[in-house]
Amino acid sequence: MNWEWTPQMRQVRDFLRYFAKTEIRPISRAADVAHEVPISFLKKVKALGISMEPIPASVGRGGDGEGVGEEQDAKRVRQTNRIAVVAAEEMAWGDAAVIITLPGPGLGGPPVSATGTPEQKERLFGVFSDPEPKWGAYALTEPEAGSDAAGIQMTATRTKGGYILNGTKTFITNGARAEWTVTFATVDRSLGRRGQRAFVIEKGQPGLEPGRIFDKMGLRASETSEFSLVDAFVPDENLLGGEAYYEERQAKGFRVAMATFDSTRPLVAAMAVGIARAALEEATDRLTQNAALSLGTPLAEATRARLGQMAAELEMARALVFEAASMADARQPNAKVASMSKAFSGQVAMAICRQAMDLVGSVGALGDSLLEKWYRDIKVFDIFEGTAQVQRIVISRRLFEEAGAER
Amino acid sequence: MVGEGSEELLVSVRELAHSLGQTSLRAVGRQAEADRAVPPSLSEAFAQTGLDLTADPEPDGAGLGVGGLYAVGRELAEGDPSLAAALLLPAWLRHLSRAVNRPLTALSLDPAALDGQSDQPVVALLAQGEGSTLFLAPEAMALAESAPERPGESVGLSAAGLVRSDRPQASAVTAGGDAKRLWREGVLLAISLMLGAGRAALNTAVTYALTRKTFGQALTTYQGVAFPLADAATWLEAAEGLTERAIWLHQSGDASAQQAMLCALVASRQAAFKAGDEAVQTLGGAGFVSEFPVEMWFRDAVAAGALTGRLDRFTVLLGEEVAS
Ligand SMILES: Cc1cc2nc3c(=O)[nH]c(=O)nc-3n(C[C@H](O)[C@H](O)[C@H](O)COP(=O)(O)OP(=O)(O)OC[C@H]3O[C@@H](n4cnc5c(N)ncnc54)[C@H](O)[C@@H]3O)c2cc1C
Repeated sequence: MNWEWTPQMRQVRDFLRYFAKTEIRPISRAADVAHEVPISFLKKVKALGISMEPIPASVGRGGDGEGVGEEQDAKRVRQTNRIAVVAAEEMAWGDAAVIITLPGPGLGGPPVSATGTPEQKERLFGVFSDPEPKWGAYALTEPEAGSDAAGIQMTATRTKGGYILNGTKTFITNGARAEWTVTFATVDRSLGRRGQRAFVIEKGQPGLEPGRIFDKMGLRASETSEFSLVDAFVPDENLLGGEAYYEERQAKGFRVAMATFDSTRPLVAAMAVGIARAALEEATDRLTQNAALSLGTPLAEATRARLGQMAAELEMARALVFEAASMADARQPNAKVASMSKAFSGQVAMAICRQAMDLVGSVGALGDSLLEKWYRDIKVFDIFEGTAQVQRIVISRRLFEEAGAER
Repeated sequence: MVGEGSEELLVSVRELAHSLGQTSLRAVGRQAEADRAVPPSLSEAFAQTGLDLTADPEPDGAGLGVGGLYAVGRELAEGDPSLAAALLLPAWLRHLSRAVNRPLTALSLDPAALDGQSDQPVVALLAQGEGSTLFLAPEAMALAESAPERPGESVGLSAAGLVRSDRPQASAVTAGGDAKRLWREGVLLAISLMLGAGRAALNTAVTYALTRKTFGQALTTYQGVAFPLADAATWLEAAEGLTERAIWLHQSGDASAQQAMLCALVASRQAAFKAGDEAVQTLGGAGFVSEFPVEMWFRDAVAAGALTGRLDRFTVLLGEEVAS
């Protein structure tokens, strides 16, 4: 395990800490109330070149992601995941909804990096060289299939020059505004995960029908939407990785969907850590301004003990995040630790946000305190990118495998 | 004190409140949250049921008292906690105002308001009309004339008026048995909202788990879903039981009523949070978006808990009571 902070990591942390404090935090409440991030802000970050783009652990490792392991890429990825989690924590400290709205490929980035053909990479990532903010998205979840990602129902029927897609995707981050969305469909439901393929659905795609944009408990400034594809013809060049990719290795489509998680789960976990850190700092600040804490009363003692426990749990979460990201940078399989980081951070961050809100007393419930917002924002970190239960399934399965159970 | 024949009355009042909660309140809860107001038609319908008079003394002196008010609050809150708070607050304030002999317009339950060592502001629940704010803490109470700020954004209970309130002057504080008795009565409002919200969320999650399938099976077949729901149900059951026991001790004038009510509050806060959290979790993504009211009830439960101030205050107080 490499615990070292490289100069670049420090640089990213220091810059983004400043940026989160001076640029993100000040718009946090207003964005939440307006249910959107101001376009002026998005243009500004675009101009500054700030985005979140995780690189999957599999890139350049051989096997998954074969063919992208050029020397140059190999060097580049070595600290990319750690830099990404450092950045995610700092920016989520400012506002998590704002950072998942940052222009860029978003969750659609990792599958394109890992499996896209050189032409696809150039075409799809090329979109973001436009000076205007542009987004990518990732659509796996369906109304009837969330945790059960292998059970998706969207169909892809082979036709001349491409596929016809039918079905509905739901809860898609930046789904309505995306220039392109990596969308998973099945060529044969009876094949389960082996039948899955990843397609790129571009804005303006005939047969693409936008659906609802959801109101939510938290992360209100982030867009979460649904869309349907009705007899949508998707040309061969938008089958991610190309036909040969799936013919060579069966079950690949599903593995494309899952490989994404090894790099995005630590990232999402880092965001939870950032929100929890914000809540802990806010509560501590308010309490230290209050003379009561310096008195030796039982309540003051209880407060100190509680803050200490919260701080310890936050450090544990951060350590898991860092370990998962380091493993990805070292190109080690990290699925178990990635899930641990996600499960633990989601749970601990939820507890920290709730306790922080409680520690400041009843006013923590009012809308002029960001504590109530963080409590609303944090719950989804136990749900998206694999729920708390799904993470435990992954962790326990790996544990049993390590102890000799068959795969 | 519960009068003769009041058991039967309590049962019918509870049933009426339950059915009103499940129909009228449930139907408009989400809209009321958006409007931050009770629809006038609902206020009228509620007044016609006479449920707001539950605690008022009958001409012969008998009435269900605060126990009846709690039962109504708990049932209405299972329909919609925020509307239950808004509809019942006037009746609660009327009940408390008889004890302090002053008209009341707002209620604060955060003990920090009466803690000389703390300078934190607090929140209050605000009703329509003119009157004072009653500040209740487990050891003391105070009245203040100052008008609280008007309602703004809050984490939950949006149809009721959750407002920031000035702390009362130290001179207005009264300590002693009377204050403790009133705190027990006031805090029951928050407990009724929390437990109703928790129960509503849990019931919805259980029903959802029966019908939602993943990996070809109903969610109920997974221990990862079933066990947390079972735990939440156990906590709620215990908290409801503790609350009813505390009410009984309170109405019997028992010396252990204060400790019992502190236990009921601590248990209710944790039970309601657990139920809300597990309910949202059970619904997965559908729990986080507002298609289902579960996320709203989870927020309402947390807001009702926050209204009573910091949880640690009560655990420390309980610890002191236990140690003594
Ligand atoms: C704000 C937001 C943004 C999102 N963004 C995206 C996105 O960009 N792209 C995308 O594809 N999806 C996205 N999602 C969807 C998200 O990934 C799913 O909601 C999540 O995977 C859970 O799926 P589900 O909602 O269908 O819940 P379900 O799968 O129906 O699960 C319901 C409950 O049952 C539990 N459960 C299910 N199966 C089991 C089991 N076998 N054992 C134990 N427990 C089980 C779950 O843990 C959960 O608690 C987003 C969701 C939200 C809320």
